[in-house]
Amino acid sequence: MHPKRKKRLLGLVVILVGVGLASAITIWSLRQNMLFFVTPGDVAAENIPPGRPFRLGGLVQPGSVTRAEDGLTVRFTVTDGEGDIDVAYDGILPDLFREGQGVIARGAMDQAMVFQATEVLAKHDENYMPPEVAEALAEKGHPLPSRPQSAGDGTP
Amino acid sequence: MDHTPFIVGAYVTGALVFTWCAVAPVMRMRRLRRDLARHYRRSARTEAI
Amino acid sequence: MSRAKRIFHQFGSPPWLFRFAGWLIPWLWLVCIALGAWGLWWGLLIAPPDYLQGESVRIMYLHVPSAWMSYSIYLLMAIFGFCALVWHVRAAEIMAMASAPIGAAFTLVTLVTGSLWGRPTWGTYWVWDARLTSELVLLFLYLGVMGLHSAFDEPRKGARAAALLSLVGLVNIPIIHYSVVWWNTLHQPGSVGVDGSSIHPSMLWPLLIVALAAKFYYGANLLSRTRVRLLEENRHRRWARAWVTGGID
Repeated sequence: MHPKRKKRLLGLVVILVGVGLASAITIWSLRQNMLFFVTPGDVAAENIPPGRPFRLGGLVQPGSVTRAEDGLTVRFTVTDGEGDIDVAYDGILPDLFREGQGVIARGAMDQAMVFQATEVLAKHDENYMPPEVAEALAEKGHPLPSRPQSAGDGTP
Repeated sequence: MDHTPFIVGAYVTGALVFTWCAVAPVMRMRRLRRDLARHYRRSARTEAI
Repeated sequence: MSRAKRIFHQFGSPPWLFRFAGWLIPWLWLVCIALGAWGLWWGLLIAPPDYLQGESVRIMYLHVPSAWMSYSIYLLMAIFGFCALVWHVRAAEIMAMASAPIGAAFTLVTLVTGSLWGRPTWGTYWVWDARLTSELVLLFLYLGVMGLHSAFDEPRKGARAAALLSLVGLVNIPIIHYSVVWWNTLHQPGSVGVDGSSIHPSMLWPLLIVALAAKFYYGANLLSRTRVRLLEENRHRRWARAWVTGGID
């Protein structure tokens, strides 16, 4: 190769490796801060004080969804297998909110250690299939989020 | 919730953006060709004189 | 000269590339439209709704191919830019700069369709999670490359500065791809990988067909933009004059 081109190639490679390394270090140090949500297990481990806002993510424990008498406040338990947190929310739940389904709630713990949510978002997983296939899988005993009918009170 | 407006909105946006993105170079080519043709004609005339 | 080197040089020759692109573009459009119509007809009318999301899953057939293209085009743009910087191949420089607006279009569609898909499924149009944020950064990178390119009075200097920016911005690509693995995000992990897919075949096939159509769209659009630049820059050449006045393709 022409020595001038060789120099350009070398210069570019040095710049690219430098930028790559710098960003890798930045991302590594930001790892914790870039978490969009924390799981119930994290909450237990990190001892987040009441009143400090954060996002809580996990699965809605099957059978835990209850509606208060006013018909607005919903209570459910979010779990990640390592911890459970009770959540209270009085707003409109997304369509995909089901028992067994992933959710992300924004809010803070209150003094009674109940998570008071101001917003609840449904988290989707990477599985896509027709309803018949999902039913067939469920019959064979594969764990799947419950169908909308069985979580009837979950949707507004 | 009815999902139709979201689906229609998504596909209308896609159609608009992709059509515009595809038509832009065609229009530019047409304009460039017209300008160049005029330019070549003019320079041919000055050369003849 | 070796065969590979000869092809490389031929590809860099403006009149040859101009004529070859002119011949290829209609075929690329034909395949793109045929595949796109087939895939979207399948996806929108034949494919089943999702067991959880219902009909809103149909946005996937536009959103996912656009997202794949948004970072594939960036990768190609950076490769073209690299060739332009190291070997000063003019054709690579033009193709790098012609890729930026097409990539920006795919990124914009990814963001808008994702937002319209997020509202009925997640319950929100937008969140600042790692995946969505890095995709937005990708749009700004494309706009930055386009802006830097046009900011210089001398087009070749602008193209080289923009190519350098595109190389630096390359770090964003693994961040987009692995954001759903490295961090907790609202966005779900990828469904299609080298080791298979978690999308049912009845939905996967139309998705792959639309994704293939998108590649042909990029090819046709890229060559069409490349031709404009080639003609602009070679206006004083005899072949350019012959094409404009004679109308020979």
